[in-house]
This record gives sequence, structure tokens and C-alpha cells, in this order.
Amino acid sequence: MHASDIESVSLPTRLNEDWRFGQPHIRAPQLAELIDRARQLDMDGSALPDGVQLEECTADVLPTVGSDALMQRALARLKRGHCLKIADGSHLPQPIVLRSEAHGAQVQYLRVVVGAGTQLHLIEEHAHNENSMLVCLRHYELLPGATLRLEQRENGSGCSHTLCVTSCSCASDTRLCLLSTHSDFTWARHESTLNLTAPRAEALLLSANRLRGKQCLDMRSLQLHSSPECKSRLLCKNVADEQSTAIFGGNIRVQPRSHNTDAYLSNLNLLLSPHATVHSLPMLEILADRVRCSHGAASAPLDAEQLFYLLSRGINLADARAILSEAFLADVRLQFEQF
Amino acid sequence: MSLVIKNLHASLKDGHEILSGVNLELPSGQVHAIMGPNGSGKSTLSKVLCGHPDYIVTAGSAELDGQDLLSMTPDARGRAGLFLAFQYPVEVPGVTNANFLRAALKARMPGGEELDAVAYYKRLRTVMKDLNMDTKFSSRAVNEGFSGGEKKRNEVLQMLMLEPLCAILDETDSGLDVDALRIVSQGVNSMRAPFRSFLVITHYKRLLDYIVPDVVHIFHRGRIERSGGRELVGYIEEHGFDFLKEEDA
Repeated sequence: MHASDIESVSLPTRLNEDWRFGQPHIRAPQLAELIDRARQLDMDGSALPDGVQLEECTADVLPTVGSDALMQRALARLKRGHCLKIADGSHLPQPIVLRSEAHGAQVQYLRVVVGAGTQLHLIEEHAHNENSMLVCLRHYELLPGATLRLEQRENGSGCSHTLCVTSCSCASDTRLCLLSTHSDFTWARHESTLNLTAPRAEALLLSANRLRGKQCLDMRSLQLHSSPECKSRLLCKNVADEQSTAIFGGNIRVQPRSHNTDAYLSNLNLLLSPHATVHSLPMLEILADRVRCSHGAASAPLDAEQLFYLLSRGINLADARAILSEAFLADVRLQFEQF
Repeated sequence: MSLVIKNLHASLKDGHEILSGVNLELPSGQVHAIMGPNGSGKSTLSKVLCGHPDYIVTAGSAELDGQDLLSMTPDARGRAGLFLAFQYPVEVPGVTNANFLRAALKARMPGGEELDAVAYYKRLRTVMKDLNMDTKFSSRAVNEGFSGGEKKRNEVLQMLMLEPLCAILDETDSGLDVDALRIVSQGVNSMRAPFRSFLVITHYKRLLDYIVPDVVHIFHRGRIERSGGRELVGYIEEHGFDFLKEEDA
């Protein structure tokens, strides 16, 4: 291309760079029709331990999560959601498991309030059936001194689509560890916002995902440091095989006067196929002094020497690739368990 | 299991030839040692035999008990009974030693058969004990954070567990202290059998004091320049490899 031709080339926009926002490949009318047939979250709240309440809540008390446009669109179809409240100082030795199953199209809302000084391990298992379209809005509030270990397992099935919006608000001296996994979706977009609102809040956000076929996973995250003396870490790992696409856009934003912030985000991708694609957009916005913030991203194929090592021991190529892919994601699970 | 190499030539992908006509006959039941100066191609020979993708075989043949080794994939060579104890074993984070070995053993089993987990772990613990290895190593990632000596010991652990029929030890003695060398050598010697062969690559006499070879080869400029009995080891220990340069001149 000659220099004189540059002017004739249009600048990139969201319209001609669709990787900035993964495409669900559903026409808008179809999506609207699906959401119109939305049904409520089907959640088994029986046999909950002392101090734990699961109740329905109306849309007018739902905090905003995600973008205004998304909330308006979702709330137009969503009249009620569920709220899980854990009383202050509760001691819960066993994890609480919430399961849901998406049929057709659904809009779900879940709000979790973890009481002051409470330690909670919450496991969410969301099964998405064939041809389902699920919009999930989830909001987690950690009151002072609370600890939440949260596993979000999103299990798709064949042609399923999902849009998850997760919002976490952490008060002072809280500890949050969130592990999200996505599997077998045609298209999944997950937006997560972490807001550290008071000093000494600490969060570890983890994600491990496997993609194959023409699946597309579009992860967006915002680590918002709104208060001094807070710490956040994010690690997102993807294994992309065949013709799949993994998109990650992560931002650490340190608000003014949020001094002594310590934040890091990392996106690591393993490419198993020359036709797989990853897009990684780590970002920093630092509006305070005395902070330690950094980000990293790396995408690579399998290590040839590791692969040869396994092959030399008689392990066939398919198994060796599977073992190394599993190993690539293993430390995400390990970090969650060690939290 | 016998290994017969005839006129083997191999190059890097850029065309640079490393092996320049290797000829070797390693009968079943024997231990052959390969010694030679740095950069002579000893490690390349071991990798080429195992099918490392960095090298291209340009001529010659290699047969394992009459089977054409070079036409086999690297994993098929492993399952056929060939084993390489690497000079620089790679670290494999996220894969525990126990799971790695279990996968390797399972790969050798007929389709549909399952490994007896109880018997496997029992045997693994026994072999680790024999090698004076802490059994905690079984739950650690393969070679990750291991010292040089621990890596070498781990290679021998794999060899003892997988029970190959033709084993190549590429400088397994480097990085081992005196006690570890003795223990590792005992492990190798315990495997010596009429149906098994060993190719031991080393720079030092001390390993060959423990693992006594039947034949010693001197590797130079990509091929075996000289072969003889154990007396060659003593000669090299005394004179080094300078005589090769004099012969070149």
C-alpha cells in the first residue's frame, strides 16, 4: 500500500472490527422473540442451612449491573429475581450449591448478599440446553469482613448462547475469589465488574475455558479500585481449538485517591489449531498515585518440547494434547483451591 | 531388544548435517556406551532415534528388533519399547508425576483395558523408595522446580516404571552426586536382562564403573569413529579426546 492510499482506508470501528464485540450470530428479531418467552430462574432453595435465606425479589429493588442499555433490555422482560442472603457472622462449613437449567430463552437475576464476617463457598451450576438463550444478571455484595469463594460453572449444550453480567461489590476487609468456567457454548459473552469500595478489600478473579468447533467466548472485565489499600488479581486462561475464537478485554481502573492499590490482570491463551483465534485487550487506567498495577497477555501453541516429551513416553498425540491442555488450565483451579 | 543403525545421516531443518553416517549394532542383552567430545552429535543421535521433530533423517536406517524405527511416530516408538532418559528433561507444569506415568502406562495397554490403580500406586511407591526418592514427588508436577539431580533421578524412575526394551541414557550421570549416581546405577543394573538393551551416553568413567558396558564407542564428527572394550574408557580418561584431533590432522 502506498502512503497516498492510507486516506482511502476507513478507520476501524465496532462495525468493521467485530472481534471487539463477539457476534452471537443471532439476528436481532430472533433474540427479541426468545427473550419475550423468558421464564424465571428455577432454583432449588430447599434445605438451606441456618442463616441463609433465598427469596424472590422484585425488579424495582434490583441494583444495576452491566450497561444501562443491557439492564433496560433485560428488565423490560424481568419482573422478579432471586436474592440469597447470608446473615452476619454465619458459619457455613459446607458449600451452598445453586443449580439452574435454561430451556428456550430466559432472563435470570440473582443477588447474593454475604453478611459481615461471614465465610461462604457458593457453587453455581447453570446448565444451558440446546437452542437456549440465557441472559444472566448476577450481583454479589460482600459486607465488611466477608469472604466469598464463588464458582460459576456455565455448561452449554450444542447450539446455546449466553450473556452473563456479573457485578461484585466488596466492602472493607473482604476477600473474594471467583472462578468462572464456560464450556460448550456456541457463543458466550461474560461481562464482570469488580468494585472494591473500601480499604483492604481483596479479590482474585479466575477463569478457565475450553473452546472448540466454531465456539466464541467473549470475556470482559473491569477491576475498579474505588478505595485505597485494595488488591485485585485476574487470571483468564483459554484453550482454543479448531476454529474457535476467544476474546478477552480487561481493564484495571484506579479511581482518584485510591492510593496503594495493588492490581494485576493476565490473559493467557493456548492455541491448539492454526485456525483458532484469540484477541486480547488488557488495559490500565490509573488516576491515582502510589499504585502498583500491571497487566500481561500471552498466546502460544503447545510447547513443542513438552509435547515431544509426552510422545516419547508412548502417549499418543491426542492424549498428549489433552493432557497438556488440562495442565495449562490446572493452576487456575489450584489457585482457587488455595485461596 | 536389538537396535541396528546403518549409515544414519540426519540434519537440522536448515540443512546443517549433524549425523554423518552412524553405524551401530546393539544386540539384545548388551550395554553399549557412547563417549565423545562436546558437540560431536551424541545427544542428536538419541533424539533422532526417538523421532524428535527438529531433525530430518536424510539417509540410512534404524531398526528395533527388525522393525523400521524411522517410519514410526515418536509415540509408537515409545510403545514399541524405546525409551530415552533425556539429558535435559523438560518441565511439564500442571501434570503430576503420578498422572504422567499412569498415562504412559495406560498408553501401552490394549484398548479398553484399565490400569489397576491400587497396584500402580503400590509399585510407584516401591520404585521411588528403591531410588531413595521422597514419595511426595509423585504428586509434584513433572520436573517442575526439580534440581538437576532430581530430574535425572526422575528419568530413571520413569524408565523403571515403563520397563522399556531398549533404553538410551543421555548423560544421566550429569548433575548426580556420588550417592545418587550409585543408587541410579543400581536401578539401571537391576533392569539388565537378556531381552533388554542399553545405550549409555556419558562423558565420565565413573558412571561406567557402576554400569559396566559390553562395548564402548567413541563418537566424533557425527559418527562412531572407534569401538572397543572397556579399556577405551580408561584410555579416554587418561588422554582425553585429543587423539581424535591428531587423527583428523
